Amino acid sequence: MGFQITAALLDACVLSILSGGDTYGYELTQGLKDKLQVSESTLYPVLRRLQGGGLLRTYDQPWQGRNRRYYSITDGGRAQLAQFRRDWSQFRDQLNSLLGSEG
Amino acid sequence: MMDRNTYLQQLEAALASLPANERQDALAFYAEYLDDAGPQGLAAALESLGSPSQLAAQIKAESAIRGLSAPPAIPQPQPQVATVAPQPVKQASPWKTVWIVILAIFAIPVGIPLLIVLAAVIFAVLAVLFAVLIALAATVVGIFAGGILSIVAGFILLFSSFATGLFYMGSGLLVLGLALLFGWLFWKLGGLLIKGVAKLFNLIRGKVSKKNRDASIQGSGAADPGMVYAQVETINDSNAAGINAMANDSIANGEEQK
Repeated sequence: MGFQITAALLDACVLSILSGGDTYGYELTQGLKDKLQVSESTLYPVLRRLQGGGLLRTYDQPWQGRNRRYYSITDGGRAQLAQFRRDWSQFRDQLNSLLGSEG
Repeated sequence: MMDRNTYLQQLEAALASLPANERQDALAFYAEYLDDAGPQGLAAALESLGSPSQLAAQIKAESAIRGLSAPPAIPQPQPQVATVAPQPVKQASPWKTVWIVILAIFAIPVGIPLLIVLAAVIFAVLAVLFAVLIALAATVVGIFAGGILSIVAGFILLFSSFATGLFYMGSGLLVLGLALLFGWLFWKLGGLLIKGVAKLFNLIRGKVSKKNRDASIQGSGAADPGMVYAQVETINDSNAAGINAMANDSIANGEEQK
């Protein structure tokens, strides 16, 4: 793809996935990789960043004799997601008016 | 293909420069990730993650960026207010990084001459020390030669004037003894000095090569596509703003033309 996914877009996508329910690292990565061409190593920094900003929190749950870390969106994260969605729809409209769509 | 434990061990080693809690956090994340990938998915997951050092470079770069631009994480007690208010903190933080970079660039004309002067001073002090040492050695050798000469002269003089010959031979022996004594002293002193200098250089080299190593890791990290995106993040943001502005302009123009 000729366009680059910025950090803000990745943050928005991860928050959006988490707004649909708590999940763990592997599932989150696969969910992202299904839709976007991202490397498997991109997610961890994104999660650290979001956690550092208080947009998500984590909790551990035992699973098959080991721990699994779940990620959960916070109220601050939901507010940020709402802002991202507003920004995105504006950005999309602006780009659409410039690039248009084929046909 | 590496197995899970080897990969994690190498990752841990590559993350050695991180604070322990961040290192443990990253390791726990990837250990869980590989476990969740399962025996079938392991090979694909390892391949996709890249080499341990590549992965470590990315983790460290992100940690460094966060350390530079993000203020210490403050819990957000008023989530409802955040819905209405924009995030002023987020706006301010990239500028801090930019200012540090600008400051660093402006410091180069002062910093580099200062470094050169420091190196020159160290070099001069070392040169003087070695010059003194060489001069002392030469003096000792001279005195030694003088002693031998005096003994030889005294031996020859023995046949013309016995007392004078004996005196010269005696002084010669005395000087020889002194020369040997001081020679031994300076030898020890010189050895100590050389050892000290070698230690000093090792110390400097250790510091510099550590810096170089860190820098080269950052550099190799930049070759990773994910890394480039992380570093260009702020630039992209400003690009996005530029595109926004352009889009607005063209919309405005379009309306004018109508």
